[in-house]
Amino acid sequence: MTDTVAAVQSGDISPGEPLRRTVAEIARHDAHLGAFLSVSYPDAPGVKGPLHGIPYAAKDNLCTATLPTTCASRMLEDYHPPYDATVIARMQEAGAILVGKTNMDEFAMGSSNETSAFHPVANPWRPDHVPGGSSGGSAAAVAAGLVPLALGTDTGGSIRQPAAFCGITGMKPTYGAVSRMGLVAFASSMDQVGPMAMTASDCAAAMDILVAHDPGDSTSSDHPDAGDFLRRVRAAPDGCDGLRIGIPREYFGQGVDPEVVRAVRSAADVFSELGARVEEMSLPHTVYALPTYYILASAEAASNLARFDGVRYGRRAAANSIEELYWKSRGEGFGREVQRRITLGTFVLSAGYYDAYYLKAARVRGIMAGEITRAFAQYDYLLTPTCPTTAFPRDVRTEDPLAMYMADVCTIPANLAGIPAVSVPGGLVNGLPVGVQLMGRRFDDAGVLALADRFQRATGHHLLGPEGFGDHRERGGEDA
Amino acid sequence: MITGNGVEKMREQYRPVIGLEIHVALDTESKMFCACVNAFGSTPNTDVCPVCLGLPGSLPVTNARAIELGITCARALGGQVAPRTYFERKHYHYPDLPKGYQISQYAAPLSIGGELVVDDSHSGEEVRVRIRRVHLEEDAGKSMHSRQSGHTQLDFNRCGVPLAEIVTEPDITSCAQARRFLEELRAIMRTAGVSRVRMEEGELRCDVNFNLVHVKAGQEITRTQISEIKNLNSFRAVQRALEYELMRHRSALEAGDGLLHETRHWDADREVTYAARTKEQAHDYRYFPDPDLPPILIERELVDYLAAGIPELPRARRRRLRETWGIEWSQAEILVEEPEMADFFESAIAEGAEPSEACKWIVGEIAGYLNTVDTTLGALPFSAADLAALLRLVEDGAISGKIAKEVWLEVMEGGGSPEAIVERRGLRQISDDAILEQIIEEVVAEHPEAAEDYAGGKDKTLGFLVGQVMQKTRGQANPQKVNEMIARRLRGGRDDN
Amino acid sequence: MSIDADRVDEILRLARLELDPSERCRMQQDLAVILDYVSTIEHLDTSDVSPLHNPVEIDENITRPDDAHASRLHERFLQSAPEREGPYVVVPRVVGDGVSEDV
Repeated sequence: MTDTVAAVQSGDISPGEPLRRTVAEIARHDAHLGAFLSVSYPDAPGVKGPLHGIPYAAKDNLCTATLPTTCASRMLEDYHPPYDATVIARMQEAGAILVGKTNMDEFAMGSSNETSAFHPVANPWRPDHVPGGSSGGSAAAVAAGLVPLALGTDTGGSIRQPAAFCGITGMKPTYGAVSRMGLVAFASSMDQVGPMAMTASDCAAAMDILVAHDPGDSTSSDHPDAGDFLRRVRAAPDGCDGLRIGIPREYFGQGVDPEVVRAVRSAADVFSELGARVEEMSLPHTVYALPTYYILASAEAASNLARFDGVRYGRRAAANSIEELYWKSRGEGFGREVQRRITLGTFVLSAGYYDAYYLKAARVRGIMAGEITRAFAQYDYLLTPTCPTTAFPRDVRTEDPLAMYMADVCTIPANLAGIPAVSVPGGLVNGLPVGVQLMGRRFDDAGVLALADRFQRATGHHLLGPEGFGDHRERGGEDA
Repeated sequence: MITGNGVEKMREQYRPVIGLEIHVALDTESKMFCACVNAFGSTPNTDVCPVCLGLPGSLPVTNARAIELGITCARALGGQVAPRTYFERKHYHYPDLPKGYQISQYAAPLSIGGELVVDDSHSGEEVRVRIRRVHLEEDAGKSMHSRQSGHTQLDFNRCGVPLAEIVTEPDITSCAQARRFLEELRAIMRTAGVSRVRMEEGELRCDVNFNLVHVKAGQEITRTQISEIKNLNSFRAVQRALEYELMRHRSALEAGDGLLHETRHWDADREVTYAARTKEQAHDYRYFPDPDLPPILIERELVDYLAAGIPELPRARRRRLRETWGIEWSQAEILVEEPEMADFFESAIAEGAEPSEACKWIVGEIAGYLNTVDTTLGALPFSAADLAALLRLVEDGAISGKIAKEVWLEVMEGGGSPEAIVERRGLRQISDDAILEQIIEEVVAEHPEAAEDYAGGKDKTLGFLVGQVMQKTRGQANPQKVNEMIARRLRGGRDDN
Repeated sequence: MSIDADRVDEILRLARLELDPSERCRMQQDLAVILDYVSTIEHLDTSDVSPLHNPVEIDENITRPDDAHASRLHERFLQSAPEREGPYVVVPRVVGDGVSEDV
């Protein structure tokens, strides 16, 4: 993508050319993929800026004034926000062109894109497999080369896990680095918007636009390290001399596919060869991440989704009384997984259970964040699998919520602690991509991306693409 | 009324236990968590934005001024302001609550403790009411329920208006005292600049908790369960609702019924309370810290700075005005209820006005005039110096008290300074002896019988004669002077009145 | 942890979710399984740990000055309302507690 930007800026290709290609690709492939929920092609190629002419897609939980914002829910099937999310406005100012809104798990709750109220998304590598979730549409659209860049959101792994399943690079920034204004909230203390692209340097180019202090978001940071990503990634040396990388052994427990373990080990070898000191270490509270997350995220979700009541916007069921209006609108408007999380979240906050569940989990979160902070006194980065497995076939986990939740077990700690994390392709297992996750200290987003970039300079994993789409995939500038 | 003497102690008593939860709208330009204007009376659903409407993706940002006014409110009541406080979400569903939760405070209120002392004007007692806590929250919108259309109409303009909620301990022991407490609270809030407390705009709303303790020989025998009466928006409603509850609880105790702990509502038309349909235990607000809002740290210096800016509070001021200027309790009460009015009073004195006269004019003429116009004292086109000048004209005998009222009305309506009005309209009293003597001669000549009657000792006739003089001078004669001169003329100065 | 049907009904009432009987039954089972799983944090000693509600560290208050701006979005807001009457959003008439006939 950065090469396309350069080509547009030097006049080698016209600013409308990338958009033209995207329009053609979406027309050719999206009927099979189901990555988009709405598309719109503007006439003008965007304003001159750092991403001039770059077409991009945004997950459908980011408010857009020009396209509906449905969160892949019946509840918001025809909802048109009156304003653009801060990230959408920033992308537009940078010259990027919004071409559509991508499919997702309903209200970002899910790990397979199967909870979308509208249609599933096919994994471009194997159409009967899931693309991951909840940003499954964004991941599939990038992996299939429909767009060079997509925005996802990540509450418990929703950028990184689908990035891993689809063989692309996906970044969850430090909590507070990117404005949440206009992101339809799932769990406010964990949600972050982030880029999904082919390479770490493309993600860095997008981070340069996305990361900015927003006075409209009280949790948005004005940290001095949060900026200048692409330049810092490019300026980083090829080697990793002096870097200390920890591999927490708790991420390799039960349920982790041995082939995935092998892929992460070989990534560790790559970093060792680059000069990093890589060693196993322990983060003993990791095993509590998933239960802690499900309590806290569900509690916040139950609260955040209380506003969808059919009164002011969105779906309103036919009703003769206000109570009936609430019950029916919410009963009909929300899908099963969303209802499950609302119910769990309501329960853990309810009288008599708050201390044992919500408050207890908030304390465990404190322990885990402390443990991770202490680990970063000894290690610069942590290396783990992004997911315990590669993409799984559609329909096999939908009946078992816990099995589905396990897909997020490796990604959740970064959300609980608010640290930056990236998933990079780590090769193929049985023809499906494996994701390798790198985590760093709060606000060391540039360092995490630089490390991912060094990995990509040293390996070719990110250059692999699914068959049938390859001609139009933009891999590290090969086709620009 | 409960008193402490021994005889009373032996008696059987029903002792009301009353606690209040008061919502006061803070005097800010913008709302609590968004930049929408904090106004009353706008076209429905125009002072709204994605934040106060709770549109998907919107986020709150705290109004710094609301925090400051909350601190001022807490300090004016003697509360201890927390060094670290945070907002929580209080969940319930109601169509005028856009997010399905209200941003409020629960576990970490802005302030705890404090006290409000009320002087009971009847008993002369000091009633000390402890304050439990003060916290900040956002208001909800307004629902209008139309039987005709079968709809509830929703206006979200009020959503997000900043409120301070003040919770008392159950220290109030009579219905009248509850009202006095609220009046005192209103005066404090106005004085401290926390709120303008415009009752008609709903800027003070109150929930009351009431129960009744049966005491015999100083020992509690039994007590009723607490009734919570919600959302009373006038002092009268508070007092009447409490009086109704007192009667209801007393009948219950006498019938051996302890009543149920319940939420009740006030029916202002029938002047009764009635039980809510949803039982209190059905509410489960599921409070938890709002993840959109980082905690607020409050430095000691800020608290001290704001506390130092609080003017003299009403009770102290009332006392000082009485002690320094010798004015009546009830007049001090009226003056201090509106801090502007008390300020005006003190300025007038500084301008040389005589205190009891100034007080009489402010409490009478000015307060009366303010009731007829929809504005504040500060917005009116006259100053305390004008009042002082007016009083000086009366004192100097330049105009009569009657003319003074006329002149003052013109001053209040923007007619200029009292001196200018008197000159322009030629209202200066006739005190010139030669002129008055001539007129008195005329009157004596025209009414010889009356003159004779008066000269013969019939005092009542003097009034008639003076009236004739006043008529001839179109009210401009100095009546005091005319009195004296007629007496001298007809009785040769031997006026034994 | 088992969770009885009444409790599930109470939670669904608080959350304003209407489920048909089979869905409600399924929800009860799912909830029991999930609660069993998340209860694994129960035995952790957290007595001397502060709860972490948000990873944002603050050293200064995040507030905004008290400046009011007119919002020009209210028209679009009203347009998205499911049902309107003049300038009002309307719902079926609320009957019950503290409700007086205002208009």
